[in-house]
Amino acid sequence: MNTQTVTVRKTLRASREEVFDAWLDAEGMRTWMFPGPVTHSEVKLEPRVGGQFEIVMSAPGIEIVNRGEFRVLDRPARLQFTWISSRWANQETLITIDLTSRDGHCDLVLTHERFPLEHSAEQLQMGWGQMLEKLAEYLQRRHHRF
Amino acid sequence: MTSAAERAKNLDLLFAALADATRRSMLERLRKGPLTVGELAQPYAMSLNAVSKHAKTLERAGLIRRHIRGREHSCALDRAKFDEAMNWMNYYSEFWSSRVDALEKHLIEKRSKGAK
Repeated sequence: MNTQTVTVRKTLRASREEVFDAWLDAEGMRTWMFPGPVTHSEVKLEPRVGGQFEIVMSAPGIEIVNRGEFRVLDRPARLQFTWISSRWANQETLITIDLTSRDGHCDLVLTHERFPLEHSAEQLQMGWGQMLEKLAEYLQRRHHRF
Repeated sequence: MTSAAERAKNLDLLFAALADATRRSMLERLRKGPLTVGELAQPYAMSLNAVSKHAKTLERAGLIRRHIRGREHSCALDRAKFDEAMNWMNYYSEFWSSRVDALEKHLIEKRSKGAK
């Protein structure tokens, strides 16, 4: 048993690009960020690394506010963002979404990790480290292209 | 009184306690019933003192309760607290798998609209 991580896998009948872009499309997200009892979902987001998002889900008598910050936006392979939910005492958690293509479909692996207090500094550092690595890769690719 | 900050701190203690494989294995064994610290220590290649430290961490997180039984400390799982940790997992497994299903539906609908 690993109580620190939830992993969800699914093959979606869509391209990687479509799936990736859907996570940054506030308008579209209102229609699918809509769990069971929720009657209204409001999504605001700033689609850039370091940008913030907020998803407010309203159900009769309750309102759940989920917010976070984008850490990795590597189109179309990977998204990573923090996830802080009022449903769970506003604890900071981390979500990573990996997308790979297979026969025109998209394999999605979503990992939701908690990082308790004593681990958070290390984890955050890892997040930033990965981000900087990606940035370096990105800049290098760009460099090669031009 | 439990403020949001206290609840967050309690959850931190809870998940910090669960972050260690030895402690998870101890909890797994305590699900079957209470054990003394000595019994708890048996399968692990570590000192009684080290096992006792792990038990204290679990106790601070509220996951187990320790009682004095004769000359020994007996450890028992606090089922409610344990379930609280499990709830997080169950909640998000369900939340994300249904969100991803809804995402696929949304993309298929979007495509068919675009095709018209």
